[in-house]
Amino acid sequence: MRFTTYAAPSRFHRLTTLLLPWLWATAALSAAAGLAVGLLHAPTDAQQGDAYRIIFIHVPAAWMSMVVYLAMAGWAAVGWIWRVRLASMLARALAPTGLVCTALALVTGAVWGKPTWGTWWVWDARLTSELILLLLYAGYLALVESIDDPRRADRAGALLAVVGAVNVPVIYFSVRWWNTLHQGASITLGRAPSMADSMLLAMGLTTLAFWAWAFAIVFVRVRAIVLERERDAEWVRALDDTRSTDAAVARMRGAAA
Amino acid sequence: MSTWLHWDSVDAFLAMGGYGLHVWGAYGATAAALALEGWLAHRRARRARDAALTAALARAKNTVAAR
Repeated sequence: MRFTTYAAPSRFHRLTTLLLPWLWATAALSAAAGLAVGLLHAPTDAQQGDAYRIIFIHVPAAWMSMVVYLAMAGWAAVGWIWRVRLASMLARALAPTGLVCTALALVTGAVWGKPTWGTWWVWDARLTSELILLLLYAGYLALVESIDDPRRADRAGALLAVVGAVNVPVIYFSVRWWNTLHQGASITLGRAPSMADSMLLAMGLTTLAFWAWAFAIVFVRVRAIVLERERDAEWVRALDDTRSTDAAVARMRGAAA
Repeated sequence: MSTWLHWDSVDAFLAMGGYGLHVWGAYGATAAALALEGWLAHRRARRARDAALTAALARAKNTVAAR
């Protein structure tokens, strides 16, 4: 079996049918465990008091906002250059999740900033570049939704996504390149994290939850996009979902009557 | 187990050291956003599936009618 095997939408559909229950379960369990450790067990921060507990959602959401963007731009480019239709559909499916993660990073950051900085918002490099990320996601979605022909929409979206990818390293390194009100990284490769073990564990668990959630929700959306675009394909008939089949039969009867 | 818990009481847990509104507001907003996204994605998947199966059934019916 080659790695391109699952590029066929029918096989992708079968594979994700198997994966989805595990992804949902991983998301639910790691979220529950992460919240238990982070909200019930971890100590109060010496400087920020208990307001710091927002970190367990703020940081994973912010990480995901950047990772999802790179994935979206990457798949959009693959779909554009090699004309892999599933890659373009993946890019489309990633955008709403990236938008949600970016919005959550901004909102939870504002709610955290008020008690610790005394302000909801400042135009520093980190916050501004993250806001630009939100606008890139919104612009991508508005662009692809405004073009009726899916192939043309994919190409236009890919161009925007790839150009906008420049912003991701700017977000990541902004706290080093500029003097920002936003604090520097608590976790950097090759250095001991500047956090208590239980805080680190909680953040690891909620990060895992966000990853599993993102995979699951994106798979659900890709499956929908595949069916929207390939409803005339032969394999679609073989989908064995009685509930949906019943609904479809009922609708046909309704249309015939 | 009581030593595992950071808090002395439920009230202290809910108050979050005076930052209850901020902490619970942030968690509430996250829960609401993820729930909304999950609902929208599943609704889209359900509609796509129904439409695809309706089309497939219609094709099957036409094939039978043509014979």
